[in-house]
Amino acid sequence: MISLLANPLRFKKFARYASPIFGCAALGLIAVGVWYALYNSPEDKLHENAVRILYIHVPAALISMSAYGAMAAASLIAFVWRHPLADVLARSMALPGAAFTVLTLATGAIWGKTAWGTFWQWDGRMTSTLILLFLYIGYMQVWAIIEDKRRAARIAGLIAMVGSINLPVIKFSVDWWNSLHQGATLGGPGFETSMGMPLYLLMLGYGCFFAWLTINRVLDSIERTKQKRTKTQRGASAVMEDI
Amino acid sequence: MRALSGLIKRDLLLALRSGGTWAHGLVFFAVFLALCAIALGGETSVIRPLAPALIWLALVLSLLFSFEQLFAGDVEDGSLEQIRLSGLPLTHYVSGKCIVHWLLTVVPLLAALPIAGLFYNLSMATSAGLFFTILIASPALIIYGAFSGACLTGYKGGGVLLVLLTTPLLIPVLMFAIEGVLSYEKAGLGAMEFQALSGLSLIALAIGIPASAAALGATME
Amino acid sequence: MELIPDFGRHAIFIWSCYGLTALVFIGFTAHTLWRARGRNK
Repeated sequence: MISLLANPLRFKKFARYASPIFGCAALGLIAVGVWYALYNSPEDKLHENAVRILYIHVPAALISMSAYGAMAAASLIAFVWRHPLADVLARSMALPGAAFTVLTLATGAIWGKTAWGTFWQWDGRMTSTLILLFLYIGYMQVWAIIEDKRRAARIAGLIAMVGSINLPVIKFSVDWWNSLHQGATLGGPGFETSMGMPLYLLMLGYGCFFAWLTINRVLDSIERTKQKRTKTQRGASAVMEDI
Repeated sequence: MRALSGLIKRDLLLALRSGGTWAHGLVFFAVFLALCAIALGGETSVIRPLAPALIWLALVLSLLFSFEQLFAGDVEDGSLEQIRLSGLPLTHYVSGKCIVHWLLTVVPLLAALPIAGLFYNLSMATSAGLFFTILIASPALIIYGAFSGACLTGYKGGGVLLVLLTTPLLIPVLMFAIEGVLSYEKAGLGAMEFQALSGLSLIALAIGIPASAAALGATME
Repeated sequence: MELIPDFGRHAIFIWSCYGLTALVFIGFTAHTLWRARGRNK
């Protein structure tokens, strides 16, 4: 499948049916999920209605972390096998991934206000999510700052890969560090099965949305490269005609 | 092996002939600690418990600003090309650079620790804890900084981005180091934090040096 | 059933979360569709 999609033309053909499928799936899943989340699910005993925040916080967190993993995997493929579209794919996932990370942090902070009374705590998850955001921003900045885009791809790919290896290290050390300093115990949210529905629907929905976004961003990138090439070709052939 | 030692000797000579610029990190270290003490009001009771954290912060910050120039000189004047053409593997080159950098930044800072201890009224145990945590964590600090430096070689505006890129990799080190200083008193070198720091340094050695070499290779293409 | 249910004391927090999320989704969707329209012209 990976080599199948290496050809930009074949990717475009894949996108022609994949994009609307993911798009409609995302729309449907998220719509139904939100309906469940807001209208058709019970209050939590401890957190009352604030538990509804978790329905959109957890999926965002899931996407933000999976996106980084996918970015790192795509970077690896680009680095080792010189797959032409892999680094385009990695780059396309960066901004959406970062946006979902910000969303995770924001909804998490607001959730924290309802659950613990403060917007921010240096606990394991919030701290390591913040660090994940730094990794995303660094990755995007490298693409922006290096003019030779082929070189930018390799350097950014290295950063994604080194960052991904360190992600479990960061997660472990932050959890460990936090366990030393933790004051009150944080009870994990106890989910009843009736709460599972909006959660799973929205997780799937967010995933489909991310896939739809990424496919379209890759298409944009392919289009932009093609336009640049035709522009230089036209310029070159104009020069040749003069000769 | 001879090429590596030749490289190290050359870099040491260059640094020592540079008119004292190698000591800039040390100066920053001292200035930062002085500013901290002043900002915190100078009360020993306030500063003493914060001392390990402040000293580690001073260390990390002074190191972070030193990585921009690590490879820049060799890339600019073409020495890196020559070294690459000579057949020396880039991993050896990176290791040599890291060793020199360690000798020029970490060793002076370790030597300056007793004086910092005097200024901050540190106990013997805290100073020893600081010494060992810095020693054991220094490979990770140097190598991750070198990696970011290698990625951003030649980009004049890269300084702040370098800090941004290196920070996520250094945060675990910082966490374990501060705890390590505090547990050194009770558990000596057997404390779990020292094992963790050793692990982090080993990970850095294993992935950081090849990754830096790959980044420099990408620069050369 | 009311259109806007009463969420008690956490209502403003819940709605700001959903509002923020909606903003991000709508923003991305609008941008993507606009780009896609430019591509297919």
